[in-house]
Amino acid sequence: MRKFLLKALFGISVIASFNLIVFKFAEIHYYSEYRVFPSKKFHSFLLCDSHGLPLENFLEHHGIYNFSAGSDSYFDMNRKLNFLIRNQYQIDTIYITVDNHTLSTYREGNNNSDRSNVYTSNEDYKTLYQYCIEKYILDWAPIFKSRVRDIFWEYITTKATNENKKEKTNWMNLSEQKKKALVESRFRTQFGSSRESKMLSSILNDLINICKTNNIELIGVKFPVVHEYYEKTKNHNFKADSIFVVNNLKVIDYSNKTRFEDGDFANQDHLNKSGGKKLASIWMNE
Amino acid sequence: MAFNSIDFALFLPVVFILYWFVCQKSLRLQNFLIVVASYFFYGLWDWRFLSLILFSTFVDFFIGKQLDKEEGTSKRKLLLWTSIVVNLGFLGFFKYYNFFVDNFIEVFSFFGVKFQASSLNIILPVGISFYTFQTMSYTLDVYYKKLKATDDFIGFAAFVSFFPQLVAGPIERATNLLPQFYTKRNFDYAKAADGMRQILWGLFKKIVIADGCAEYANLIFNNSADYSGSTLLLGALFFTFQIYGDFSGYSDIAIGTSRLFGFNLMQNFAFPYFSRDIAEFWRRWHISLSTWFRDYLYIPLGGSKGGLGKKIRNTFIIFLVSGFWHGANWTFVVWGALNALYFLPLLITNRNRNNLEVVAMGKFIPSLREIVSICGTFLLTVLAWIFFRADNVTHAFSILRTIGSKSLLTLPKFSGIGEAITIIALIGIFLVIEWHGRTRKYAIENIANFSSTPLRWSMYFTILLVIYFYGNFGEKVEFIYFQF
Repeated sequence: MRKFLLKALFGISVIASFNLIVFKFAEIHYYSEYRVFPSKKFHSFLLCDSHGLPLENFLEHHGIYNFSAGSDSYFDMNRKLNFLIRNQYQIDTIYITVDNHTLSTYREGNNNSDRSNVYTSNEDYKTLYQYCIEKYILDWAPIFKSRVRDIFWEYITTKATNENKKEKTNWMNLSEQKKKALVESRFRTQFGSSRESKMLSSILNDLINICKTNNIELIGVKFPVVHEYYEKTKNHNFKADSIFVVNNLKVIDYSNKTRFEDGDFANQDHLNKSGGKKLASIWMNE
Repeated sequence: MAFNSIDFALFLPVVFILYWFVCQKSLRLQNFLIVVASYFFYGLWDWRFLSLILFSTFVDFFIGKQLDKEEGTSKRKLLLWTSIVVNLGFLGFFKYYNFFVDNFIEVFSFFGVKFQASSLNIILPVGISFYTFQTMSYTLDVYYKKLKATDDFIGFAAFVSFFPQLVAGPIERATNLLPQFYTKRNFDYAKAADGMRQILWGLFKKIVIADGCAEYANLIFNNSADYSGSTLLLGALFFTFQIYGDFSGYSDIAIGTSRLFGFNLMQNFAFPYFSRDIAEFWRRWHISLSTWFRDYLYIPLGGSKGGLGKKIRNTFIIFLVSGFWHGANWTFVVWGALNALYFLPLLITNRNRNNLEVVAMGKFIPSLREIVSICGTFLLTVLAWIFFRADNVTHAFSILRTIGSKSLLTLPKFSGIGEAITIIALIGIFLVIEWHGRTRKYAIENIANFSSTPLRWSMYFTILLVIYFYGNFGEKVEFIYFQF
């Protein structure tokens, strides 16, 4: 038994050392950018996925804090909202994304549930065991998180090959063929399955009820996309915006605004920085 | 709790330490710990269904004791049928009720008769087909006097609920596993180290091969109408490796875990994709189920004795029942029937026991004849898996029609084909390792024989790194056989 335990201990030590390296990496490259806490001076918050990111902090002098994060799903946004309420933020308005894809099964699987746990407390979990696992154990053992692994792998290969995969692009500079391919690929990713996520739909309804209970005005936002992508997706909508309409909630729709040009986009469905600035100015002047 | 979860990574060391350090002095205490740990293991899925396991345990324990005491044939038969009816009754209700109701309605409406019945919203208890068959094996063995009934309820409850194989087998025979619960277990280093190695290989099969293939198999099967024949064939190949990696990976982890606790479970897979004919495939695929049906169904039916008609009938019965065991869907029945059709020519011409030894024994490169027969058998298996994976029989036939069309000659094309090259390369490496270790119980068993410790450890860490970088451990891909 002694021999077995010693060898097991050796194996565990090597794995733990590797885990420590990944942990340090994750802290810097994965968690730190996500786990931010808004100042209490804000009373309005923007909760979006990556589509809200180009708005950066352009809305802040209008009192709106951009609490968006790439890949956030309604699950994560719900956690953020509960965090704000629990921590006694004075919330007047929540702006939330209701883009066509936000209720997709793609978004259900591709989210930030492993990072948004920072905004949770034990009341958000069914059992104390689940709370301990998700809030602490998994955070200490990032080798069990595939997203950390993917970022870690990308980091290693980028360093090894000396290439910058995250090079900033501009939609305007792409060839027609490349644009078409990107539109197709993005469409397949977001609308590959025609099934709506029941889980996300139910969370969105919960979110609406929480806002009603707490007298928070909830406004839906649809972000601009390039013309080609708009045409491709206009008949494919998982209808988060319809849930808003049914609940008599306002929806601001920028998805088909001709005021945006190709030069305002980084890719088929994301604005670039100047596009973000433009959207902020249009939004605040309307 | 799944083997590839953080829960299990925490659960296993805790149970291991309690088992060998706290309960070691008492066999009863060790068995009791196994029962508690197994119920906890199962309860994390759905604690409500623990009552089914407990009830099944009570019924078979008391029927076993009565069978031992009773000498009269008719009373013994009655007791046996009580056990069978209870166990199959649970299985029938939870697994097949809706299937029969829906099919009755369809058949009656075909003849213009309106049949009033509604299907129920029934949750299928995880692993019900596995533990039901295991407890039934006990009653059957006691009935056939192959085994004496046990007086130790705790030991028997541990046998029924033994967590490593509770939800997806191997389906153990009472004659093999039950006596192990009544024998003093001493820690054996070689056995435990071997168990760890088998667990590692099982995790590789599940997390890298099966879950890697699942992504593409699901994409292609779920959108089959959009794809060419060549893409659909590739999808079927992905599923072929998915199901093998998934199920044999689970079995490896189950067997390895059992060895950590001093138990020996039967081998469940013996490199089936290197089989030279379908009969050999069925001697190597899901061995615990095939031998269960052979011992408790095929042989009591007369087996291969009797005339040709009887042989054909028995073969069809065993394959159809085996197909239906997998699930309440006609696809599984057709899958079983198709395998029976593959098997029949071998049976009729008495060639079903031609390939009993390991293929290309003592050689690394097989002969041309062996290559042809392995490829032919593999192709037949791939085609049969299409029925297993398809949503319904019509879906399977539409896939087969497309595969049979001219589009088979075009290059496969689907979203993410570039990334799929990685998993294809990994399958290639996996097959070479499996081929190299095909004479063993599992492919990397022979690492134990490496004299150099650093080399051995570097092999283990290489496998761990491959699991880390290429595994699909973040997504929750359930083991396919949990649904059975």
